Amino acid sequence: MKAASSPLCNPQDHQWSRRKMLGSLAAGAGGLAGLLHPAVAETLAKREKQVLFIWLDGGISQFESWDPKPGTRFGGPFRSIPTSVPGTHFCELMPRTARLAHLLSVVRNITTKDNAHSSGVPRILRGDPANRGVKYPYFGSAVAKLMGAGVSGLPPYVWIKPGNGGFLSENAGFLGAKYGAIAFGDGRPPENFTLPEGLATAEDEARQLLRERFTKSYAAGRRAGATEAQTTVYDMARQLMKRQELFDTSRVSERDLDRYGRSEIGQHMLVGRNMLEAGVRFVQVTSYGWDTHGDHFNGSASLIPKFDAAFASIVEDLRDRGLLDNVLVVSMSEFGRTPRINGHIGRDHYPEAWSLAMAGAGIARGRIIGGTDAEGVFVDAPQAYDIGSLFHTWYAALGIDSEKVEFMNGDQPLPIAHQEMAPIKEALA
Amino acid sequence: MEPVLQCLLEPGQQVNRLRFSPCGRLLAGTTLEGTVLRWDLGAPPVPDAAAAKALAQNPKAKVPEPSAPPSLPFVGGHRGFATGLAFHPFRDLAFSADSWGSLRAWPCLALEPRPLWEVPAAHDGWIRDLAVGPEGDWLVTGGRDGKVRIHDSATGGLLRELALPDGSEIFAVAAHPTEPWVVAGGLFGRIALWNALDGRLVREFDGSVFHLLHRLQDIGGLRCLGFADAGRTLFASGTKPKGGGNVNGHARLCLFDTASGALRHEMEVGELDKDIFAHEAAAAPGGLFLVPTTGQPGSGNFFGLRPGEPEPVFKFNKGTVNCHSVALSPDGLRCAVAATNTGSNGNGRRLVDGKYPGNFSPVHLFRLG
Repeated sequence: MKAASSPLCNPQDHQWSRRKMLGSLAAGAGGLAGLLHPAVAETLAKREKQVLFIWLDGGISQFESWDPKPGTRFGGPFRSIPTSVPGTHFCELMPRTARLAHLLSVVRNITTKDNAHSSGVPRILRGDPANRGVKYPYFGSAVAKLMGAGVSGLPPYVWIKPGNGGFLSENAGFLGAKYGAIAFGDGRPPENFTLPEGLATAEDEARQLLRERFTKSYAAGRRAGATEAQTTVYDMARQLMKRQELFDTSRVSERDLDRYGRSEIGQHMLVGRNMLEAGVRFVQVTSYGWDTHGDHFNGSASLIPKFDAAFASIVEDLRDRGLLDNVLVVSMSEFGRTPRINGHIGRDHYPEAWSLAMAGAGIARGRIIGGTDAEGVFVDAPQAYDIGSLFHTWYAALGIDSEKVEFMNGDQPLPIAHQEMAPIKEALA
Repeated sequence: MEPVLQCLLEPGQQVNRLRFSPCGRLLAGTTLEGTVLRWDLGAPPVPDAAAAKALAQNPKAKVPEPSAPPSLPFVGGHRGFATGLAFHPFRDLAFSADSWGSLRAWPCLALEPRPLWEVPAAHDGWIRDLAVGPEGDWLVTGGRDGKVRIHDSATGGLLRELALPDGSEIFAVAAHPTEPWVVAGGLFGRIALWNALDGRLVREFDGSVFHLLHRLQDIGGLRCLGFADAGRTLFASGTKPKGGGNVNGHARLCLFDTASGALRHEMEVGELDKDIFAHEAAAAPGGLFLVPTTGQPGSGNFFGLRPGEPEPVFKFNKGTVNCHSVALSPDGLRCAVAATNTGSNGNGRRLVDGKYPGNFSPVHLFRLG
């Protein structure tokens, strides 16, 4: 892999950026028309709010991304670079994202509670609501429940991740299995995704009718919901089988492959783009391998430019295709990383002062919220925000009043976000 | 041939690279805070000539152990990590580099050294390593920008620019002790040898054992290149990576025949997942290689290895935790190893007396038998 050229921008770059933007707008319009299934074009016309949730599992370092502290005791080896927001710098490992900072809200004063993956991941993804003795849904399941699948007919909550796929019912918590995530392992469709050779469509439909009759008969007299999840998953699979093109990366242009990067996260983000364009309500793209307790700086030098390419490309494409006003984009981990550099030249887990980035639907553009002290050890702002505040913010961005809307767990009303927290107003458009 | 610990230096910073000056009087170390630390080992060096003679006659002879040498004011001016460090072979001149791309020369023994010259953008960003040619008239640097650059040691001026055939980031460089040759190794383990005078590619070496693509991460395991046996052997140290993120692997020392490029020995150092990186190695007299290791915080050892022997010549593990550098004195009688303080890791914000502590590198000064 060739090293990146100088991340420091110059006036020519900005001229090029404008030309490139105009060019990509034109290309985007043409490319989009070529890419879209007719049903998708219809979906776009009635565009509803969607979510792209980018999860960097293990913990991206705030120092090497959103909140650099170059030249300080814990600052590490990298320089910072100016962004498109005057006075704001990102780490030099994110040159393309730096040029899109005017589209983002970056929150630099996040303080959460857990410094272990096992407790931190579920607490962050469930929003850490007040303890009501129930297992809360992950954000994706909550959005699936509160906003539904929309008009696309596709599953409301898909998860593109490395490794195995499958249906992850546990993400739904008390909402019930049908709000779980359908995971596409390695960005691929589920197994047995195509009809067996020799099986005619009419025969298949007859079989489905038979299955539905058996299911109905089995469900009769049993508790409501006993077969609901299975039926839902079956229906999702049937819908996806009609949309094989969503997984067809052979239709992606060489230019897009280069822009997103021929890396795991780049390829998975492209599948995510397809899903968003097709109208999937909530798309999570997960990348593993961010828990850099050892050889952190060389690791960051490899990982973060790949994230930069994929993240900047999806934000550019959403903008150029007119989707950014409708898609809430969040990029985060379960925590940040320690200022202190350990003996394995790594950074450990640090929930005390870290950062994340948001863009799109309902989110203010070009905002840098909060900050940390000179060495990045303490939040240096009147207020630090916990995950509950972020859930309120995301709901507000999606047009859901988290003060009024409640989940119903049987007869039990439950708040959808932490009752003692509130949205981050500066982050909202 | 167990090394004998003579004294422990305790700088307040984490050390990257240690080097002795050619006269043996100065020990210097670059740090993660952009400084170059210095200790005046005095003249005569430690142990003194009489003690060395007594030890040569009787290795068990008791000689008074010296106290820790005084430190000189540190050299500032670097930004990010201070990385590479090397001395001119004949002059009172040191060269140091940093992760923001600057390269500078300074009088090494001056009390408050001012740079003789500085090239603020010798590379675009992280210079990972530097070395000085055998006559001291040029030096070579290698950086994350994928460039190998030959500089005039008198001015810092660029003489030549090279790159690996795959264009990858450079992780280590070395200069041949007698020929005008430079060698550089990169992210994917490719190692190339050039003639520094005309830029001709002389030979390539296969260090692919040092690379692994794991999920998203290209793990570049090469950390150090050097020459032994009057230049007939090229050695490379680092890790054979097993997994990314929290990098795991097994420390490696590879020995190549400089003339043919053939791999002669691939030596596993210590234990898998405990001794993960050999950040540096040094060739000592008698065919011995000094190899300190790092692992997860709290692991790491200092090994003496001889190619072809099934067991290490020695394994020293009293306080040599997470060692990042080893330097051999010019007379071959001493070495210095930069380790890491215990308790260097931990999740969350643990305050000591209300302050957030950093880590530091105890420097072990050994006498070699």
